[in-house]
Amino acid sequence: MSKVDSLLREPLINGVDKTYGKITEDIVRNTEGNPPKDWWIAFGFALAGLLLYVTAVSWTIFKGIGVWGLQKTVNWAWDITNFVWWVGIGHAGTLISAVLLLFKQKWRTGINRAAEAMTIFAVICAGQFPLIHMGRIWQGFFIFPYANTRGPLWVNFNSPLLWDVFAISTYFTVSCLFWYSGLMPDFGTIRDKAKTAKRKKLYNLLSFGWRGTAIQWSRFESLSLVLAGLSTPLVLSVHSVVSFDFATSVIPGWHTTIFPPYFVAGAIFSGFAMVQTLMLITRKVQKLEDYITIAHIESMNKVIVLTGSIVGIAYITELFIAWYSGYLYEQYAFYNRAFGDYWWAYWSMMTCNVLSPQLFWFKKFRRSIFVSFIMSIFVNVGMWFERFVIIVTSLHKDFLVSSWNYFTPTWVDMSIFIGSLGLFFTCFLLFTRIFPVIAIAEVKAIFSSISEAAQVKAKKEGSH
Amino acid sequence: MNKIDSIIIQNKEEMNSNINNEFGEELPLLQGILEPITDKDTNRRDFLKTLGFTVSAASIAASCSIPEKKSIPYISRPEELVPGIASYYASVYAQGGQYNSILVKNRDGRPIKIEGNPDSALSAGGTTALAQASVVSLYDSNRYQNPKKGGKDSDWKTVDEEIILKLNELKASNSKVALVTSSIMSPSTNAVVFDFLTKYPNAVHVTHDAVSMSGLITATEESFGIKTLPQYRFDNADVILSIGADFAATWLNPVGFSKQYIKRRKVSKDNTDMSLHIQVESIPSPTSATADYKVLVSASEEARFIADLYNAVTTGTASNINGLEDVKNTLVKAKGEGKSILIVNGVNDVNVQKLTYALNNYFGAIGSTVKVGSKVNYKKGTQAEVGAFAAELINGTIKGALFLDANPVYSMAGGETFADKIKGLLLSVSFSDRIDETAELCQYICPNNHYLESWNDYEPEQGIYAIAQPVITPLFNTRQFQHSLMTWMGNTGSYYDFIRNTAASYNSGSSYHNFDAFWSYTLQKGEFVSPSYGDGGSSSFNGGDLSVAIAQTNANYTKGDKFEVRFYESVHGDGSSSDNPFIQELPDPISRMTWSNYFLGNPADVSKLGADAIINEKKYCIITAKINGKDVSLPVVPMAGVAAGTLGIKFGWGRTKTASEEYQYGFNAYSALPNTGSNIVSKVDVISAKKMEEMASVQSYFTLKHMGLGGEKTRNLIKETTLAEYKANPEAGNTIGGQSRKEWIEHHLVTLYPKIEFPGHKWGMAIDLNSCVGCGACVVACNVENNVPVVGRKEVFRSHDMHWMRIDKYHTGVDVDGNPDITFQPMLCQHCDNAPCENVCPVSATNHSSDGINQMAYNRCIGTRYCANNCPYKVRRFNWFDYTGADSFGALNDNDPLNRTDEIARMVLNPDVTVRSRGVIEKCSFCYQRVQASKLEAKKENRQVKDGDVVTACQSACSTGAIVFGDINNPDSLVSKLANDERTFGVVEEIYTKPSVNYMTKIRNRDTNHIS
Repeated sequence: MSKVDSLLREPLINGVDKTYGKITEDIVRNTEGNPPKDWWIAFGFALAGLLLYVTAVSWTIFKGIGVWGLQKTVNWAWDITNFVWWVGIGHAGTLISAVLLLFKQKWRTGINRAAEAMTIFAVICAGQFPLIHMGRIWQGFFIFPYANTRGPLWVNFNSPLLWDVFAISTYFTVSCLFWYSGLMPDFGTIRDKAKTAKRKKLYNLLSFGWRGTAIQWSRFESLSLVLAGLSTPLVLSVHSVVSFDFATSVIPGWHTTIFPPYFVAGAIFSGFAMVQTLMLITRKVQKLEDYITIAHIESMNKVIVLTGSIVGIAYITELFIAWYSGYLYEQYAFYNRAFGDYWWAYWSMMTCNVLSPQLFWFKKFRRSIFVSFIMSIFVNVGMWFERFVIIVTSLHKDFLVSSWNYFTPTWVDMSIFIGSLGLFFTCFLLFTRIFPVIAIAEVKAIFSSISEAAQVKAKKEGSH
Repeated sequence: MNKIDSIIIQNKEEMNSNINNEFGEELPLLQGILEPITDKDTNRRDFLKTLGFTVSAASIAASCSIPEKKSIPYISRPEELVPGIASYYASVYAQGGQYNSILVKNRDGRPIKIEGNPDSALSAGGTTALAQASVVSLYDSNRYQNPKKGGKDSDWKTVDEEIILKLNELKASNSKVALVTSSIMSPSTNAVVFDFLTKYPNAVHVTHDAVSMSGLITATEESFGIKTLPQYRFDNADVILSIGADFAATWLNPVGFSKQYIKRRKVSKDNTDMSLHIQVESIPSPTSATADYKVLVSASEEARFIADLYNAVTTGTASNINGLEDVKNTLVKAKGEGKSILIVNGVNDVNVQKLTYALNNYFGAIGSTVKVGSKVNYKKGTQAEVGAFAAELINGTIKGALFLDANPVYSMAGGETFADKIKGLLLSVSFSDRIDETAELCQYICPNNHYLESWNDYEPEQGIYAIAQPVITPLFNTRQFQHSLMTWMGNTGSYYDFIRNTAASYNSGSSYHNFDAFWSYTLQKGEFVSPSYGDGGSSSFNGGDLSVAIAQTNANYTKGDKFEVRFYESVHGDGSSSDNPFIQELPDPISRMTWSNYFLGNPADVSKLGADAIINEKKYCIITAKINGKDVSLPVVPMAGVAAGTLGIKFGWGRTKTASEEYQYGFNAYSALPNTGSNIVSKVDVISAKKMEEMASVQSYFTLKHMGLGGEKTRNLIKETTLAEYKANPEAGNTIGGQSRKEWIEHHLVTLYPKIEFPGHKWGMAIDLNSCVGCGACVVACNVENNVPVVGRKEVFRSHDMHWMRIDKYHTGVDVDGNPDITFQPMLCQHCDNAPCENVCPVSATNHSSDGINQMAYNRCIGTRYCANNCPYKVRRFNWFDYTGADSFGALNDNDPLNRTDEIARMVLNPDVTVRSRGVIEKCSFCYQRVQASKLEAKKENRQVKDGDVVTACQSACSTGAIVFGDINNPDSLVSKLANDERTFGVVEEIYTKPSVNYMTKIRNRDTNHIS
């Protein structure tokens, strides 16, 4: 896997004192010992969020969907907005691990582990919403094509919601496999460093008895490639399928052929933003600045400005096509988005997703941690609004004027959304303390070639 | 020897026994579990573990059980009753001055649905929303279940003894006793009352109608010498001028009137004869939706209109009232052409009504379209009578009072001022069957039976005799009013015999050979129409000097620069049904509001007051109007079509004594009525209270022209044309994108998919926009037929209303913001052949039947609501909460402020229709239970289903025949003919949904768009 990099190239790992041992030490350190105070504070908030989530969801299931702000005209709002938002966020992990692996982008090694973990937790969060938005969650198993005694009763393969079931479950399975298979050598490393028998036993079990033999490494590499090959089409397919929920419908504002590529670009956009948010915090808290460098952040920002611009073009294309179609309902739907009751959501989306990322054309901003962090939050907010705009503004004023209506969320809607962040961060924080947040083996693979460069550079800097 | 063999040999004994005892092995699974219990060495821990597990498992299992319901079989089945087969009994709904001859559907001994009686001469199968909802009020556990004395349950014997004693005391002291009733249409009841008054000469009978027709009755008395209402013949009129009379939906006899009226409004290629209808009004009424010309005048001008018109016609005096000149010219021209004219006036003022008679007389309407002479009994109360009662009550002349179907404390002007007087009476009795403001104050409550538990007879118009029969034994310990009176006057006979005696007098004019034949035939048919019916209207007009009437009208209704208030009645009735949740939840046809009243205001006026509403959030600003010295605070609803300077307020809300506070929203408009009884008040000061109220509206937007990316465009959800254009081209107005609809469809609606075939039946519907008057009877009929839940004010505010059938209202025309044309569009599941809802359901819970029905499998639905989102018509309704008690969670989490899950309330549920649980989508099924019943009937008779066999609930309730249902595959069916008519179109059919509901263009009989 290793190759020699030019000295001109910015190093992927910083620091003068890096050795293989030091890398192991730096990364595994975080899984050993007691978590620091700020971790506990963050975990406290996350757990409180999770509790809020459990409460709000239980209340929903106990009382009925009526506790949400939904109504006869707007039958989906925050629930499906959250679903699509989380699925979108869940795209970055696979893209970073699989697509960048195939494209031999070495810089991915610093962030792929955490990005994959984030993917899995985001998909877990996303998967909640199709379940809890059901009126009768206790009959939810009807959605699976299982053999039954109910005569010819079968699922409806025409329904995009069913496609979602397959798309999301496939994506989740492959992501889990990919993530876990990558973790095995690192678990082996932790095991080898373990001081207690209990810990040794646990990580041995988690590593499936990894011994690091040549044949294991060879198989490991092949498996990575095979899984990367399998997941690459999924990056495109999952959000395409999610977009079909809207694109195959008849509702003006939903019924749009541009949706699959538009959604995929948006998903990568939001996924990278979320990775950025998490990485900026993790590198600081876990003291991993040498592994997740400014160069990483800059690369991510480049992807963000690219996908943000693609999304921007999609927005403008939509507007143009709506006007060009000459079709009254379509023309109204898009006018209503920009100037109707929810104009603030539309312009928030435009500002956060299209305008603000344009800052990243400037290197200064790309390499600013502060700007990157603010921007990553902006993009996350903007992408949430994008889904809200698509779902709610299209539904609230569709064909029949008599049914036009206005959606207002309730405390339960809000709690479930905030709570899902709690669920996500609870998982993620636990991950940072139990699992190596950086792929040790993979980082080591790029270390040999870059360490020299880093050392040369460090010496230079030191000599000033 | 290998390993396996050795095992077998080692266990040879066991093996042999196993061979002998095949399958005799104990299940190895249970061994591990049973061991700790059976083992002698069981210790305390194991015991506790097992116990804990068992108890918690058992309690979980027990708590999940579905509540037990008891059903008791018949030991001996009643002779005429077949379980599961409905029987129909003719009866009469007559309340608040409305008369509906009805058929009551009885299932397994329970009346569950009201249908119109098609054999009726007056209502001819039509019903009102109130009649449809009346069956719900039968099953009300809040009805009085026993007679009451001093607010406590008592028994009939005690109550009777005490009341008789008191009546005799009052008689002895010759103290005045008032029997206050609403108008009595029943000859037998009148006879009982007459006997009572004879027995107690100190008693007087006071007729108090909440919504009074006093002006018209008094005017008839003064102009014709007979104290009654006139008969109108809308079907004979070529030109109808209605001044503020909502005759098609609420005024006087709406079912009968709308039936007559619509006869001359239905247009086809073969019959383009259409009457001309001009509506002059200050507040938009449902009737104005079908009008050809709408003339907008202020409330006081509504009263003065007739005076100015009279002057203009007779002396040529010019008037400054908007549009009056055009109206005059139209009428004069029509008279010149020999056309018959009919003028009706909704202003409750004797002078105004006298002038209306005078003009009717001038235009030759008396005797042809307006007949006076025979008794018309819908309403009888006069202001003079009511005023005298109130005065005598206040000055203490009246010492005792009995109240039947009358609630003067609530519905009489100044009612609350004499509330304590009623409390102080020597005897006060209410016959009310449930709590009301007056009954609350009475010493005794002698609850009357519900009308479905009673024998009665009715004579709505002279010559029409109807019998009402009980369809269920009284649910509670109640007693019919007539029986109570008879008991108190010492008559031990039954009221049933009493009615038969009365009926005998009607038999004299019939051709039946004996009374029994007359009785049983009338009972079965519901009505007996005397051969002389309709002949009586021959009194001649004698108006006398009208200058006084003109002068008084002009003096009483001057227009100032202050606001004017128009009181009106809506399809929700006079307030006596306001504790009926089905009525409360029926959206007002004009404002589309439920559960409260409000002011209707002109949008510009509302803005000027600083009382703008936040329409999208359904928040409306409260204003305070000082009407007759009374501060009336209500939210104001800005509505195009309300005259500038006028506020509208409807009767029937703001009750203060009902079973639940849920029925008490709004303000009691009666309390602000002037003493004259007039429904127009001028010179009203109005200020904005700067407070917002959340209103339970179901539709907030009415116009069809909206700004889009391509500029302003109009949605063609409804299609309209004029009669002249229609005559020239039957396809007039029926266009898509400027092209004729048929051509457009041929060119644009092409598909690669195979054509959808329906080999057998293909059910469909046709709805004539020209015939719909928006009365809402279909909505309530649908609710009752299909067990549609009512959800209450808060839930409607949250747009959780569940109605399968709704009447959308749209504003169009050249003056859409000032005086719009109103069109009602009944909207229900369109049963699209190419339904967008079907392909998106992940579990196929909604799918298409082979006979064209878009069907719902409720027990398959998991509630993703994708179908509801993808429905272009937004007719799918989701059970947000457990509204019905059908949930498997039981009553633990129900959402039922209206107590609809009560055992008694649930008795009204239609057993043929599933009661939906929480979390499933529901929608119109085209009354598939009725389709199925007709199919079975046809099968039994070994024939095909004929056109007209299947009548949906909405269709049957509609008095104007706006809804036609049938088999589109049957070329002889009316619905298939209408489907191919030039006027037919589908809503949003451009997106290729192929709806099975066809709408017919609205045709207005006018040349230009507006009269002025």
